[in-house]
Amino acid sequence: MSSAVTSYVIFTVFSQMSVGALIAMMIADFLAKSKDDEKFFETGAWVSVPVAVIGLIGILSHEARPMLAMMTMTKHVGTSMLSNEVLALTVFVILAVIYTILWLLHPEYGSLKWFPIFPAIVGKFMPLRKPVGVLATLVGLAFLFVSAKAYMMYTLPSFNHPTTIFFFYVTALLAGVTAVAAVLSVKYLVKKQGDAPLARMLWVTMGVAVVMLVVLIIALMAQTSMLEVAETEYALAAQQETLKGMLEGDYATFYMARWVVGVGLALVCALALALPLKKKSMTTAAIIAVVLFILVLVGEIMGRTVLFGTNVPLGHVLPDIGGFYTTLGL
Amino acid sequence: MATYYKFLNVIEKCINCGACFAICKDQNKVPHGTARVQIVTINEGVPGEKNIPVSCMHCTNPPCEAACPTKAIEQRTVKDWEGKDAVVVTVDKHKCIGCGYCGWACPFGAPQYPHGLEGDLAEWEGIMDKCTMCVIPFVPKEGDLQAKARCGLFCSTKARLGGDIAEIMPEYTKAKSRNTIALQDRGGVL
Repeated sequence: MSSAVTSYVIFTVFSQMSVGALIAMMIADFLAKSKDDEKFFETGAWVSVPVAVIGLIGILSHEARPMLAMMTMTKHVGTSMLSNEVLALTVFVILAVIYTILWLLHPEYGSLKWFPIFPAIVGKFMPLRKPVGVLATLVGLAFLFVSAKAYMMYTLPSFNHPTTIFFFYVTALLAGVTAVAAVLSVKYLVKKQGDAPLARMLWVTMGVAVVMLVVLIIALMAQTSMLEVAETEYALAAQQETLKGMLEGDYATFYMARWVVGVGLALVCALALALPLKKKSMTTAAIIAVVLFILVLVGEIMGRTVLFGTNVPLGHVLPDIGGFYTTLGL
Repeated sequence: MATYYKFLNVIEKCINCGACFAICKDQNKVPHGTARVQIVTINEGVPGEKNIPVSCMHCTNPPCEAACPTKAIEQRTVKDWEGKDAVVVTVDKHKCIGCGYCGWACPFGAPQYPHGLEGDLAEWEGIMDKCTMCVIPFVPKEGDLQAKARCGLFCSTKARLGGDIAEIMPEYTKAKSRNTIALQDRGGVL
């Protein structure tokens, strides 16, 4: 696996997870019925921004000039989808930082309320938290779409399918929501407080996870079908190379493991969450939530590794015309 | 009036002598491990073997230019050796960040990302390099340079034609019409 593939995997999985984590916090914001609930949920606000930073480090690490990249990557907005993607991510991260600050510096329950001066200032802007969160969510969802479109080029035949959009949204919601649920579950396991808010959050997590896993199953099955048809012979050759790498080649093990870990086991885990939640056995539910997040994260990383690792650009097929002829049986 | 500068390959005439590759390396000081023009061989060692020199085709609507997030790739008008205005696709290596997005956008696999460069060349590690119609050498220099497709000029069989599309197109058509058997061989695939 090349270092570029690792960078793309880290960038896409973590930046998308960041969007999902912010959406999870928005859900928590609306689920909170009291200050105590908000105090419990506040810990989840630590997830989104650090995860986005990991994603940004991931993508910058593969650039030849990372510092220049930070300054110039948005120079071609409107034309270059990569510029659009970076701009959308930048706006999302700025909004996510503001939203996170409004949680963490809350004068009454914020983790950083001990910080001098700032909590008092931030306290005045607290009514803006939900509107900022909604705005950040919308920008985040737009970022996911732009990010998918950045890869959906006709010269990348294996990405140029609607499934790419579904994969990105699934990663965001599945990994992001389960990440926040896992953090809150760990908090519960340590402090043994917050049964009611955790139960509400885990019911939502279970619902989101089951729906997203079903979407993922459909998208994965659609992907293998779509890779068998293409508009041009060259695109077909590239897609067949991708399919071969996915089902028989170097990435076949990852692909199968992704189905087992990231889909099968994750789905069992997500459904199993209903039992302890019904019995109000929160310790068991919290442990299952943590396991679910680990399975989802491992599955998504493996899935993304397959997606990028087996990607065959048209530019790799065209010069390899010998390989192209072989694919066509000539 | 500016004209588009292109490459056309009379595939049937290419004998894989490597002259285009060698003159490009020499003229543009392209280091080991990077090739602005590559010769691709089809059906090697069997009847119907063909060789195709592949490089940047200087597209009229370059997808790499549209993809580049830093506007490092630019379709611009330069002078050729006769003083005519020539439209070619160049890359400003000082602006390139080496993201590799142009490599995905190009259908010909023309963009190269050199690795293992040492000494004075280390600055260009991972920075995109491609054919600029001999306008910009591997290490960019100050001053105006002329568009001149030396790979085409040095081609021993005139299989590789490079330059003003209005001038090379009749030459290409004539060469192709002489080789009707080869045209039938192609069967509309290539």
